[in-house]
Amino acid sequence: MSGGLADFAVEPDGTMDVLEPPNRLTPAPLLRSFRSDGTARWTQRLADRTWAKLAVGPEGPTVLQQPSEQWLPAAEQGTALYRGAQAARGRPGRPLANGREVVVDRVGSSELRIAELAGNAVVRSWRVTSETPLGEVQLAEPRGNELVVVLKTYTDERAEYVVLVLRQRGSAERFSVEPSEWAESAPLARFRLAGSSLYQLGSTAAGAFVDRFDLKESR
Amino acid sequence: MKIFLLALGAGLLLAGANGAQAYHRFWTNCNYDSPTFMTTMTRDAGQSYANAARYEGYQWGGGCWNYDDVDSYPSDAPGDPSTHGEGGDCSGLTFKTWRESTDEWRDGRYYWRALRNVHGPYTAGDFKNGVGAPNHVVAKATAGVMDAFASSSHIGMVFTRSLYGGDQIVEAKCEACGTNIFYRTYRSDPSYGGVARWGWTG
Repeated sequence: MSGGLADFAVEPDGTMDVLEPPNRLTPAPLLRSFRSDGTARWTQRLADRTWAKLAVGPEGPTVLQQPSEQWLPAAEQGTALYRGAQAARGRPGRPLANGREVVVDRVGSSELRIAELAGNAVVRSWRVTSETPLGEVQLAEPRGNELVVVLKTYTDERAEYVVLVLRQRGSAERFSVEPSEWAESAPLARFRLAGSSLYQLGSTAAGAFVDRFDLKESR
Repeated sequence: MKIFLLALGAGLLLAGANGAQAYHRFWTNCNYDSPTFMTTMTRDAGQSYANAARYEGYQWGGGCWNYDDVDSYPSDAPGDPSTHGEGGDCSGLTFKTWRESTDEWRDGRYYWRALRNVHGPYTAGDFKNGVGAPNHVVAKATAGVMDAFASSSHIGMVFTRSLYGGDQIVEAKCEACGTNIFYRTYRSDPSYGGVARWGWTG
């Protein structure tokens, strides 16, 4: 692999996906799939020129790409999709295992709109506003009947992550997390949700670490 | 035997000379022509100029590339300006895209052709601090297309603002990364500040 700032995802069957950025020798981003024992399965070029995030969708790896600003599946039933097939299956939201998708929309730097869609119908939605400018949305994933959102707020001198657990009528839980970002990482790969555990990848001059936060039980 | 040893020595010297010359090969394509003084400088044109530099490689301290979409010397040692490879570095790409002068007190617009080998007087840290008549700092939340984010060691220009709150950044990132457009979260990174060029005409 190239050794650049890559993103990483593990599928339920143990298949590992590594999404590499373009580099001096390969000017297009590549997605590499590995079996659970580490042997290579396939390598596929992305449809678009730039990626923001790799996630596991209902059929395999799916990638938020630019300039389309869509989630494009990169494989189906274990087989890589060629570039045209990826583009033909693009959706504005991140696809979920239950067939729904989560759409994240930004309105200026102070408002975030999030919706869960079934087909083209909005099932539920939230509007998050902030007096402090909103940075990137690291994570927006359902957990039971809740939606867990990790976003960044920033000024010119400081920044912090805000974790929101959203229910039908507003926020059920909210806390702030210090960003520990001595080293660069893939841009939207600093948080992972697994059950009621939220994991943060951080780093200091002394090394990298993973912190775990226990979320309250979903109702 | 003496003749053999002399020939061997001469061969080794020549081999070494070839290696040294290889480090100067790309810059032999470059020139030192005067820039063209311009009255206009649009953000669209800035995007076009930086976009055209994609795939052309990275050279620490450099600022010269052609338009063949290939890094002609992709395996140069990082951080060594004497390798004289293809591409700009982060501040060199920004300097040329922003049509700046090598005189820090001039705030006019100067078009530098791709093969014009010029880095400009500014480091990434200089840009971050708004050094030079054409440059100034801006609030990060207001930074738009062809403004930039700079830290003490790197600068990248906003190609477009993007979904999920990050930005597509056009940048000469590193020798291994080359010059390209990447999705970055510099805007919310406290080690980066917002910087911009005065004098856009559209």
